[in-house]
Amino acid sequence: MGKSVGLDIHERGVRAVEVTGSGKKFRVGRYMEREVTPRGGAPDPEEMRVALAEVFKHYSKHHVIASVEASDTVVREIPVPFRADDQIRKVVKYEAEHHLHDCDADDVVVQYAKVGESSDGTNLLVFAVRKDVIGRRIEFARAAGVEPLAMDLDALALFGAVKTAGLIDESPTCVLLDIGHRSTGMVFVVDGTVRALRSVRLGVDSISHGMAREMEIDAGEAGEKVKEIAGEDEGDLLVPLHPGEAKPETAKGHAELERDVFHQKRDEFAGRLKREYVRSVAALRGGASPSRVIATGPGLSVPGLLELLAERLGVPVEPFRPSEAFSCKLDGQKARFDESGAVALGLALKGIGQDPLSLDFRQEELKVANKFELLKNSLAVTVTLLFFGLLAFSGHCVYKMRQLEHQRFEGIVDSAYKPFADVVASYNGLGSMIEERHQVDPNAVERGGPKPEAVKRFLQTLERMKRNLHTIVGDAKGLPQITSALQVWNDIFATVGKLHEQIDFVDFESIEVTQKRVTLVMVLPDVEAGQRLEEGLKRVEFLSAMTLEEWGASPYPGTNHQKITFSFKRIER
Amino acid sequence: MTEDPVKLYVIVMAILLCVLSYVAYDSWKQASAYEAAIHRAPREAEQMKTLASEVKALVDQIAKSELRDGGEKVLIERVEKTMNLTRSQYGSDTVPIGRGVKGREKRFTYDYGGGRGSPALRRLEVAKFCESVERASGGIVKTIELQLRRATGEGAPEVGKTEKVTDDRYKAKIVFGLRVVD
Repeated sequence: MGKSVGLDIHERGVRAVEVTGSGKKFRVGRYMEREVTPRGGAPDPEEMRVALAEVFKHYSKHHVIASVEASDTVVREIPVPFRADDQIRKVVKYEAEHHLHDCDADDVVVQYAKVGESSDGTNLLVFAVRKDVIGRRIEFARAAGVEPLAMDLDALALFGAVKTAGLIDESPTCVLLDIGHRSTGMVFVVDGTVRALRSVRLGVDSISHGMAREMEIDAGEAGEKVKEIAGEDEGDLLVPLHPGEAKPETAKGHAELERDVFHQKRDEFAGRLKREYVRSVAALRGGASPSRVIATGPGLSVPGLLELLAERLGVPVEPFRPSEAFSCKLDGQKARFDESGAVALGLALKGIGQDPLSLDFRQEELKVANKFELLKNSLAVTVTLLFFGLLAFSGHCVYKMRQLEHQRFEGIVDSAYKPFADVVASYNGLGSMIEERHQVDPNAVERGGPKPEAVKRFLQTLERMKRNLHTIVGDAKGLPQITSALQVWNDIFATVGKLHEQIDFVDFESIEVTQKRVTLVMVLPDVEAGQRLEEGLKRVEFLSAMTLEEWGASPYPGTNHQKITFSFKRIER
Repeated sequence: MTEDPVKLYVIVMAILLCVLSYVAYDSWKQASAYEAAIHRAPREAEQMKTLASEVKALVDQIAKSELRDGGEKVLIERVEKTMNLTRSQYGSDTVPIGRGVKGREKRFTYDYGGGRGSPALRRLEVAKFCESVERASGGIVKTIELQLRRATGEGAPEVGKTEKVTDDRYKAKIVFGLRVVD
């Protein structure tokens, strides 16, 4: 089961969410956040290292997706005269360069999302982030022993989380508001796709800072007062809509005055946010009108802010509560997770494949080049375990082999060797019948030791001896049989003997019997006797497998008899 | 050389792992072979017994023949001497058995009736000579060729006799042969 950690690094701290499962079915397992002191708009590196180290005591370091703040990003919509991704990828950086006024194209990572197509090409929403900004965040993570596999904009991560929750499908044209401490991110979604991104240097800190100025207290104290007010009944904190009913200033107590200052600063914040919102919506191409605003971030904890924004913006403003949208096991962190965990959740979801825009800001020299570096510790553990596993296995095999060798096989070989040695002795004792090169070394098998091959060799040697002996005896398999010429001769004479009375007399002039041919030359009273004899001869076993090649008769000189020749030849198959 | 100790460790362990994999595989193979051999042992022992007894029977068959005492030539000539036969010519050669068959054939050729001092043989003498050689060799040496030609001159049979004649004399060429292992 996959595990992914989303790491939202921002100027005031870190937030981390762990998600377990796959893109289709997952569970939010743990949420943590740690604050650090911002120094000149950036988090203190040492404090950040400590915070991350503390966070990653509780999380896996192997599949981490980190964030880049949208406030550090230049976002432009630009047209390119191509539609194919590979062509766009080649030119986007140089097309974007025209829109980057304060930095070189080589100093930024450029990513893009398609927002529409025209007859001339494609409209792109281009995001450019300085490499040093990304590099600084990678360094933060590395200092805590973490190597982020990918990096994405916080605003786009929020879009991913909201889309996965199904809210974009409900309201395809909407605005996502990430109301932070010092800035507010706005993601303008038209027809389900991100059409614009803005980061406004306006956060909820402006309320406490405004109160601090007004009440002449320091910002920290003002922040505490905002929290105190937030802890009271939210119903009383709504903006007084009917100023005529308000008490005169002189009749108000200290607490009421503080509340009034809070209301005033909150109104100012809402008003400024509205201006930015209206300006951005007006700039959207096609005149799209958002049907809903989905809000998240620390701004959710400011009492009455969402209601005020809804009133000012003229559209419903609803908080995004991921704990209600997804299966979670958060143990007391639910409220904090709902308020500030959406970005980290979007990053974690990207790690398990829920990544609508598929952007990664770790590119070029910032790319995760050496996967080995990421895997080396796991690899070291794995090879060690494998090594000892294999060592144990081979040890077991060797031990087993020795056991078999000494306890069982020795006996088997010994019992087999005795009869073998006896047969070899008598075989070799055949003397000149077995040429020296065909004799068997009686010690050859014994020298081999008690091994499985020994019996196999016994059998092979015996087979060879048997084959040799069969060859000598003349009945080896596949060997043409020798028929004794004496036997053939006897059979011919037996046949002639049987016919002797019918053919008066037979005198043999010559007889020639070989394995392939039999030739008989004989003197007979007449040709008819020869024919009779031929019938008899054809029944002789050896001759029956031959063909009568020649049959000749001629007068025998000085007599009335006939000299008859029979020549049989073996039929070759 | 890498300076990363973990990387170095992984590389060294990977090499060791390769070596150990081979050793483990080899050990496993041998142990399996032993096990299989033990499993086969009763069947093979039985096979050995059968084979050994077959070999023993063949060895005994050859041992019983008189071939052991000096070989085939000595045997033939001992029979020849016993029968008081005098040959006119002798030759021997070794030829391959034939195409596609492993082994050779040793051939011993004896000629009788080739002139003075080597009288032609009666048919019975030829038969007895061949039979004696074959029997003495336990069937290993066989008469592979036989050529008889009626002898002329003294002792030649009278052509056209009606009674059975057994003392006709013939010039004989007898070839004995046996198979040898190649």
